[in-house]
Amino acid sequence: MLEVKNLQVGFEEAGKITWAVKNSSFSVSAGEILGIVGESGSGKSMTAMAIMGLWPADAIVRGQLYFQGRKIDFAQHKAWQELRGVMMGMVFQDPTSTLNPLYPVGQTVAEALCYHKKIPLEEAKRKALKLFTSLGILPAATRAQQYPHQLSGGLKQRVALAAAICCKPSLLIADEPTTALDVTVQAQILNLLTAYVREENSALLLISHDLGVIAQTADRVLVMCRGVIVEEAPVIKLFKHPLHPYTQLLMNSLPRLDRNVLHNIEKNGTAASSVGCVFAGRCQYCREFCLLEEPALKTITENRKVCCHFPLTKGRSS
Amino acid sequence: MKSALVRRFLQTVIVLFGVSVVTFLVMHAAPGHPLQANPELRLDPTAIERWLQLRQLDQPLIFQYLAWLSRVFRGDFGESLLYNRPVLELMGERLPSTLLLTLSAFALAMFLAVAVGIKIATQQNSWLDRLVCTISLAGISVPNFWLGMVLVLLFAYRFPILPAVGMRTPGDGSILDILQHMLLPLLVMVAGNFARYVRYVRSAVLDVMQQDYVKAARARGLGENEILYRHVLPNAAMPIITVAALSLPMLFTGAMVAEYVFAWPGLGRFIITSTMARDYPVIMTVNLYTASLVAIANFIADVLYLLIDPRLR
Amino acid sequence: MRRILATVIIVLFMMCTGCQNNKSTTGPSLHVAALTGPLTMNPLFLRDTASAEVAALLHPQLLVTDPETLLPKARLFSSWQLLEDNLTYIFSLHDDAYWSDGKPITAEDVAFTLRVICHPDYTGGLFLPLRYITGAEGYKQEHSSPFADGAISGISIIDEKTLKINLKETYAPFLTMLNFAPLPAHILSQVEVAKMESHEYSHKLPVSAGPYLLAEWNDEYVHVRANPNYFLGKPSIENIYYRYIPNLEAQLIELLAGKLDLIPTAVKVEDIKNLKNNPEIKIYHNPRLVYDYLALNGRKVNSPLADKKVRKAFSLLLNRQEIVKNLLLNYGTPLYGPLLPLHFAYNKALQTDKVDLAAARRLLVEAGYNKLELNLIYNVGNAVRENVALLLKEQAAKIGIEIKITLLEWEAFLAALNEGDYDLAILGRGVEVDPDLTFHWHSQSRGNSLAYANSEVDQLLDQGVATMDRSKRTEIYQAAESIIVEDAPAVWLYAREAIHAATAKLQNFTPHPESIFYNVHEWTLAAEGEEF
Repeated sequence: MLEVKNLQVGFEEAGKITWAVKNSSFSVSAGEILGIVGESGSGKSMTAMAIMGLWPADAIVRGQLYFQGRKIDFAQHKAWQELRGVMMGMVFQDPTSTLNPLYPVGQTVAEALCYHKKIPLEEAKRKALKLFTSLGILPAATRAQQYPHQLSGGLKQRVALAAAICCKPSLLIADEPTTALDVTVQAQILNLLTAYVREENSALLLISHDLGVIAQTADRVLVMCRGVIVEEAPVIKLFKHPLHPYTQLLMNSLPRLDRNVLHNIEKNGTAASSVGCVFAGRCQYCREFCLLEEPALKTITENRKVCCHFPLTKGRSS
Repeated sequence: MKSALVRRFLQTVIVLFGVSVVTFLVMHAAPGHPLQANPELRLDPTAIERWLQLRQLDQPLIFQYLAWLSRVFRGDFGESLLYNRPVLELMGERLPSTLLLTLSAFALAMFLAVAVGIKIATQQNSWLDRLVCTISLAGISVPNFWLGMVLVLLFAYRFPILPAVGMRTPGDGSILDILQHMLLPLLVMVAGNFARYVRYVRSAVLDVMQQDYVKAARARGLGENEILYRHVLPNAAMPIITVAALSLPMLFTGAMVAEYVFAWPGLGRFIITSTMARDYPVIMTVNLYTASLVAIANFIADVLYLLIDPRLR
Repeated sequence: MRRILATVIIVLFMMCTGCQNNKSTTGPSLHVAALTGPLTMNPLFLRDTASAEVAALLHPQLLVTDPETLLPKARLFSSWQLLEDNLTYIFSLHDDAYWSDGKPITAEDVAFTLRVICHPDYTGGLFLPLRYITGAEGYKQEHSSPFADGAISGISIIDEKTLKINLKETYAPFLTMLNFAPLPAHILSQVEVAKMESHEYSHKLPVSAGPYLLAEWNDEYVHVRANPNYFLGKPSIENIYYRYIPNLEAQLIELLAGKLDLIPTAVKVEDIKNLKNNPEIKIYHNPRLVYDYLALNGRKVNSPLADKKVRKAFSLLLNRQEIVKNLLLNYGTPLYGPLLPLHFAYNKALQTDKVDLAAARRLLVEAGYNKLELNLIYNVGNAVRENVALLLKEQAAKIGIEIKITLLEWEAFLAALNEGDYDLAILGRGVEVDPDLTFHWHSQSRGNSLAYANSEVDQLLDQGVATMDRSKRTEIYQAAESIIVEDAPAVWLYAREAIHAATAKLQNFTPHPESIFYNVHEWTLAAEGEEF
């Protein structure tokens, strides 16, 4: 379905390129929900933007991208024009800022339908209403007339979802789709996303810093740290037995009933060095070798990959 | 909505009343009157006293003000003390030439600024963007007055292809003639206004282009034109409307530089000389007029905001 | 797109309204520059330069004065006679003088005009000299009708073209004061005098009798056309456009581009050198009845300037010949007293420069002052006055007077003058054609803005207007002048000349000290019909 090879996203500043995403390779297949976790700044959003072809104008993007077997050239911005909205859809974090405040929400959806399907506006509006009903934006006819500021956060995110999936894309990217929402609404949105993937057999790239969301929804998980995929594993295995110290750190930072101490993720360990493991500065198991040699993403077992010189064994996990 | 309009109207009336009182007091606090003995003209002091009497300018201020107010309510704005003709008539005669120049300059500058501003905002940091930004900075820094004089020297003196002053060749006044006369003042005014407006437009468009809903629209696969015209511009319109509304009163009160440098006839010079000469009825009317224009401009801007932005409804 | 359309529509709309007044022009045209437009066309209410200049095109004066000798000359009054009693004048109107509507200009028109001026509601500036007419003051005080009806006893109509005016006492300057134009009685006799200034006659001018008739008055120019029936003959230049261009540089550019033909009065001395080298431009200059002076205000409480010695010290500070030479480039005359070289009573003997700092310092010390601090005001925008102020400051510092200079905007300057709120002021003053000094120097005159009072001078001035003999009058005024100079109420500086630039094609341009259009009916353009 989607295959990303050696993706690099960087920014040039004063002649020096800082890489936000370093040499990442992964793939998603139809009907699969791939979660990407990582703290902010780990490069997960930039990865999503690169796939959508929406990287900032000053970014440098390299690598190969295969979508449904077709190669897409990063040098050609136009390549995405026919994919976005039709084959690829995206849901963003904050529905308040991602809906145009000047248009009734129904129109936002109808506009996309109208544009991509080349159908008359009236018909597009009817289709949008149907979609609203199926996504629980009720009563659809009234809601469609309303403006973003008149809707609750959950409804707005449903509208954003409707706009993203109205043309039934085979790849849906959801970048922190529930972060700005109440916990009760979160589940509803995640259910809708899952339902869409199951019904349309499309792929979903779910990006979140929230391990709970990932655990609940994803089939497979990528863990990203400082632009590098440090671990890749099916969701159950990952949570049961993380292989990378960073994954472990993320999990330990989750509040749990059986522990009364919350671990902070110390972000500012040593300054990022250009050589060695990206996590070395903060790794409690760090050895001298880790500071000198950059590890590669290697396959440990089937479906499991880790990017660490000394992956965790069961005994070492705390 | 309706009640907001009524409230706005009442506010305006109160503001206008306040403006009239303040203007009246300030005006009379300033020394002198239009016939103040000018030592070079040998005016007859007795005649001046009679002149003041006949115009009730020797009466107590409160009486003068009330008399003025009651006349205004009857729609009589009085006679100019200098011209001895109705103020409205004098202003009415001068307004068309002012509007011809200011409205054309405004429309042209706005049109160019919007077109160019959008263009360069979508190509941020391109050579065109840098060029326009440099030119507009120059346009803002160079005084209109100076630019006007340079243009006159260049096109009316060194290469005498255009008329230097006035609105028409005396005795001609055909459309072509007026257009020729308009060219230089228009150029100066458009240059100055364009330089200001284009920066507003550019930053307004850039600001909106960085909004999430534009990114989202792009993620929905809409074409650049759809994004620009349906998502960016309506949102960028608000700050542009504000700037336009702020300029409106100036359009109706004259173009001082053009009227001085190019001797373009119009309201601006009339207003200045009347103020200098303490022509009370003219000053009062002009102030009410300007205050009304500001109120009207704000009102129009408000209505436009309401039309564009559902959040304000 | 819509904006462009709207603009085009507005433009077209303006054009249409602009075209309404457009009258086709034929014959030669003369374009005259002005800094501002006129305020009125009514010859009895002229208070500013532009109105006065335009009025000179549109209205015939009763009498004029010779530009050089300033002696009375016939105009609308083709002749006059003073009877033996020195009180009774008999005037004859020009036989061919007609209003533009074909009616003859009659003695009744003149009598009516005189009644308007003497009417209690008249607010123009022409009454003062007319108070000498028998019955004029009575009319001013007692006339009760709002119209200029009734009669003034000293004015009698002998026949349609002959008028007799009787003065209550001898008034030598009388003839020179008849420099105004009459109103048409048949148009205005039914108009209240109080409303005459704002009557439509004042801005539409349907009927007049001057060398030119009003064709159009808009906010850009006044267009006048030659009066075919002007009693001194139809002017040869068919059209005159009096154009308001507020900026002198633009005026010059238009002149050089051939689009202006005459810049009257306001040419700057520093521009002359360039213009003189241009074969297409001719520079004219003539003295005017205006001078600049330094007013010494001793009326403030405890003012050191109340002391004549301090005032005299000031008259020893400035070398006026140098000022005229360096600042006016000799387009002017140094001045040492209130009479101008144009006046027949002018005293050449008075004219010597006496710069004597030691003497000035001595006078100051004698008056009991070692150091003094005084303020000096003058108005913005007059480079010559500014330089004189700086020169004065420098010179005064040498004798221990510190001068603080305050630059004032014109209206504020006038207000400060009228309220006497200054020690020293540099300003200008216009004087009469007649050397009579009464208006500015007689203690009873309301025009005596310096509040100068000397009973001896009062006596001489009274005697001066009551004497008809010119050589006797010369003696009287020179005597009065030397007393005034001795009292040192002011320091006279210079009389600037008017400088005009005109196209070389303009012929017979003879500016009068008081009016550039003095002989406009005799002007011609050399290459007729070439322009427009």
